Order: sequence, then C-alpha cells, then structure tokens
Amino acid sequence: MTTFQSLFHSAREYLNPLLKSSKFKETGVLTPEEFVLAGDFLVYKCPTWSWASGDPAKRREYLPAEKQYLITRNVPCLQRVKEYGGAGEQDGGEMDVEGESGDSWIATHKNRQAKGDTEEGTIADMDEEEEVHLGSRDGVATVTSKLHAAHIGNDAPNSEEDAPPDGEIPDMADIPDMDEEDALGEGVEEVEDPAALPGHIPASKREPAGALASGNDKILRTRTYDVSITYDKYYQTPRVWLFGYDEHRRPLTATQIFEDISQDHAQKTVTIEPHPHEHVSMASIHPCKHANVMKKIIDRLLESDSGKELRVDQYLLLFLKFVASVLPTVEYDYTTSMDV
Amino acid sequence: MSTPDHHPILQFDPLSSAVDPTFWHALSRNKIEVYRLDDAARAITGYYAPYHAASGHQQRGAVSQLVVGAARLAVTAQSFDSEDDSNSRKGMNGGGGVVAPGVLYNTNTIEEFKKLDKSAVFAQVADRIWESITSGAAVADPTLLTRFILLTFADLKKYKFWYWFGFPALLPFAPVRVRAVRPVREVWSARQVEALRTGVRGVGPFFLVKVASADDDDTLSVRGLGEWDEVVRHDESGDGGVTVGFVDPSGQPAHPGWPLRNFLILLQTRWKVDAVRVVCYRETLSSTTTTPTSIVLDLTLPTPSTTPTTTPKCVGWEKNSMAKLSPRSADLGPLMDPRQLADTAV
Repeated sequence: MTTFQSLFHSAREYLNPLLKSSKFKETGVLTPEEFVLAGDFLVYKCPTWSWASGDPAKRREYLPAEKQYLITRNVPCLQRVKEYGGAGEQDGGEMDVEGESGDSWIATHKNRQAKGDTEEGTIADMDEEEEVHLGSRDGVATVTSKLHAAHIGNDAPNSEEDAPPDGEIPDMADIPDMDEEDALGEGVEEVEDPAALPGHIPASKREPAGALASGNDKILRTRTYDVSITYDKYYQTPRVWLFGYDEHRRPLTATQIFEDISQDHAQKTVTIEPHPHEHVSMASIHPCKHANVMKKIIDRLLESDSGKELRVDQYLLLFLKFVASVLPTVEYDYTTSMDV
Repeated sequence: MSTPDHHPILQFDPLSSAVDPTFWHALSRNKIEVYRLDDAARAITGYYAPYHAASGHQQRGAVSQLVVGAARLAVTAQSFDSEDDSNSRKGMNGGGGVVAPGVLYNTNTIEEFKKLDKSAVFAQVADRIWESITSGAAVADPTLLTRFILLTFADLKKYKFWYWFGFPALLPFAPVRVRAVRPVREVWSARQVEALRTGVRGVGPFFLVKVASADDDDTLSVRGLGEWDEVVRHDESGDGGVTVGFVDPSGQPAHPGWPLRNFLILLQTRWKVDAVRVVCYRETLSSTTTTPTSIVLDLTLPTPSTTPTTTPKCVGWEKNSMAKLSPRSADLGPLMDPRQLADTAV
C-alpha cells in the first residue's frame, strides 16, 4: 500500500514526541497548536484556503477534528517551468516578500538557497534522514518512468513532449479510450441549443503554451492544481501536497507534474507518496529541509527590521513564499482583500 | 411580444465537472462495502462556488490575455455523506460553497453502463426540476434548480472510472435576449456592492435584490425568493423593475453561468416575469486584478401565453475532452492501486 520510506516515515512520526513549546524563531519548526493558529490566520487572510477534516479514519489526535489539513482548489498553472524560464531560472529570481506593515524585503536566489540546502547540506551532514531521502529519489524515478509509460499507452497526448512538433495530434481512432468513450455515449442526442456558450475546443487546436483557447480566443483553459498543507509531526513543519489536472480536468501524471516544479527541486525534493489524510498518492515536497529554510526566511525578516515582531500565525504566509520558489508557475495568491 | 430581435441571444457558460480523487475512493469503498450489486439510484451532493478570480491576466508577449477558468461543479468524498454526518468531513467543499443535489447511477459492469437508458434517467431529473418549479418547492429551496445526474462505472481492479455528468437545463420558451451587460460597479455604488457581498453570504445560491431608488438612500439588500411578494409586488420605488441574483460559478466577462437557466424558467413560470435585471455574483481578489468580475445583465424573457403542462425540452449532458456527447474516463491506478504503488517502493 505504501512505499517503504513512507512506512518508515510514519513509524518515526509515531515515535517522535510532540513539540510542546514554541521554537519557530530559533529553529523554524512549529507545534501542532501553532500550525492550527497559522492555518486559521491563512484561512482568514486568504479565503481561497480552507480547513479540511480528511478521512475520519486517518485523523491525527493532536489536531482538531475539523482542522486536520489546509486545502485550496483549482489553482491555475498557466505555463510550464521551462517556458517560464528567464530570470527566474537563471539567477534564482528575486521575490518581493511583504511584511505585515507593508515593509518589504527581497528574498534573492531563493532557488539557489534551497538547492544549496538540499545538495551541499545532504553531503555535509549525511545521516539517517538523508539516506531515506536519497532512497526516495530512486522511488520517484521508478514512478516517473512507470507513469510515463502508462500514460502513452492509454490516453490522448497531453504533455508538450508527447505532442508532435507540428501541433497535430494522432487520429483519435487509434486511442482505445477515446473509442470506448464514444461507444459508451451512443444513443444520447440533444436538441440544438443556441443558448449554450461554445465550450472547450478539441486538443488539436492547442495553444503553444499548453493552454486551450475557449469560445472566445482570449479565454484560456489551463492546468490546475489542488494544493494541500498537512502538519508533519516528525519534521515539525508544514508539508505541501499537489494533485494536478490538465486542461480537460484529467489527473496529471507524475511526469507532467514535474514540468511545473522548478528544476532545482523536480525529482530531488519532490516525491509521490500517500497523502496522510486521504486515500490517494500525491506529489509532495519533502519536508526535511523546511525548518532550515523557514529559519533563514525568519532570520532575514527579523534582521531587515529589528523592531518588528514576527508572530507565529504568520508562519504559513511565509512558508507559501518558499513554496512559490518550488512551484514558480502555480499562481496561488497570498492576497488579503476580497472584491466582487 | 415586445422583444426586439436585434438584441443578441443570451448564452450560458456550461458547468464543468470537477471530480476530486477522494470521490473515487469513497465510491469504490461504498461499492464494496455498501452497494455491492445494488445499482439503485443514490442521492449525492455536488458543490460549486462563486467564480473566484485569483489571477486576472496573463502576459504573453505584447498581449495581455484574460484568463478565465472553467465554471466547476465539484464532487468529493463528502458528496456521499447524508445530512446527518456531513459535519464529519466539514470543509471538503472549500469556502463559500453552494450545494447542488445530485443523483448517482453506478452500474456493475461496463455493458450495463452502455445499455443504461441515459435519456430516460436524464428526463427523470428534468421532470423533478420542472416539478419543483411548478409546485413552488424551488422557491423554498432554490438548490432544487441545480439538480444534476452522474452516471458511473468503477473498474475496481484497475482503479479506472467511467463517468458522465448531466446538468439539466430546461430550454426557454423562446430565446432569452440580453439588452445590456455591465460590470457591477457601473450599476451600483461601492456601498451597494459591499451590501451585496455581505448579503449573499447569508441567503444562498438564488436571491432577490432590493435596491432603494432614492439617491440619498444608497442601500441594497439581498432577500430570499420567499420574500417575492414583499420585495417585488409591493415594491414602492415605482420603477416596477425586478432585480435578482445568483451565485455564479462562471467567470466569463459577458456570459452568465449555467445555473441561471432554470432560475429564469422559475421567474417566468411562477411570476410571469418578462424583463429582469440579474446580478451574476462572483468574487475577485482585488490586489491581483483591477477588474471585479461580477456582472449585471438586463434581460428580456419572452413569456409564453400559457404555461406548458409538460416538462419543457432539456439539455445539459457534459461533453468529454474531445467536445463530444460521451462519457469521460479517469485512470487513478497509478495513484490509488496498492499494487502499482507497491511497485514503486525501493
């Protein structure tokens, strides 16, 4: 049911005592209570996020029943990382991170910083954790090749690599699923309905960036992600999970998801593992370096404005800035005001 | 009939199904532990929310393109919960969600899925929607207007799922024409828009809007459909206009979402409305886009001389990824199958 490293991880998570006192400024870690506080603040500030209870059978006792994890759905992802390219990938990018009072600081070379952590850090203090981590990389490679093979076999091409260069797609009659779908729809007809807005157009009219033009050629259908944040008891940090959909709302394969993850992280710190609160495997950013990265972000924030008080409930807003460096083209918002 | 033909026919943005992976797991579990070989129709719940623009425009070269996501109706593991235990998975439907009642037909085999008289079960749902309109049940519970159908076949050996959603919309008696489409802020003041936003939260998916006409009394209130007589019939503002609204899952800048269709039929059938102002309620995060997305439509509704006694024709099967009237398939094997997952272990 689960991979070896995730079984091992859950055993260690079980044995690890709960963090009782706040250490977030010193070490970048969170207690479960602080995770709930920070989650409440995120939901308050960013109404696209909400608490979820998950499957009752997978409930963690140290979190409230209705606040097991955080989720935001249908987050648009407009383009692939390699198309995004440019400054972001060349120099690690600069991100303007706004403080609560509107004062801002610049987190430069976020990607490099995180990359340094994963690579140099791994070599410097190789220990039990890191061996598990390395093992998981091999696991990802297996998943990736497996999913990729499965994907070619039974579905329409929907990643850029699969699409023939001239933008054409193979005859749909060659693809078994499409034949089956057609056969299953036999006998259903509808009267003409001029009041229906023409919807999606076939994938053969694919836009270069992988987004589909709709009835209006300025309106695009894009990949979307459901993003959730769980509390990882072993690492005492939040952990991010991704479930992706293509332009037609079909689940993305691991290969396709890796197209949306910065090259510094894809297949290194991102793995496919069972979600702790649901019965599905998802892509997840491995949390082993989260505390270090968060500690650095917190230190910088405190240095840049020594008089400033950083509250623990702001942790997840900062954490999402870090996650943005791993998923540069996934456009979830950190905004705080609502309009209609 | 006073409808000028030069006004365009109003077009509605169809709903797109959004099936959460947790729905497939819950369906599989129910099939094994509860339904077994019983393929009777089951009540389920769908969810939609006001369209939520998180990012306004995408810069591609010199051209800034408006990015609009699909108008989604979602099903999750929570969709199977009855009223009694819906709190056990609270929050799964996301914030600000509206519920839509659905009926699930899960067949035991792919052959049964193929043989199922789909037009007949679709017509049954259409009949129930029409009945709720003519009986007035939809006035008390407007969610009955968005009743939907879902046909499924779950191949539990391969974790492969065949599914087909239908979002039945009764066809209008004659085409609805649109006289004007305007952003909400061109119609109402900032205070009124704020009153709309807070009012919608407490009232539900379809509502009446009462606007004070005096300039110095810049107010707006959101009322339930049950207050029709007070809000519309005894309206003392004197302009005789009817203003309604609905929670709109569409983000199309010039088109309303699909749920408005049956609501317009209700307005025509129940109250003989022949002209109406409709606010399509959507939400925008104001710091990511400068253009709020809620729109106001001025519509003419050609009213039939006599109310039909039978259910009007109905459309609304969801098209598949190739834009055909066919089911969709989802292969969750790589993400749910214990054997496939075990293969990836080191």
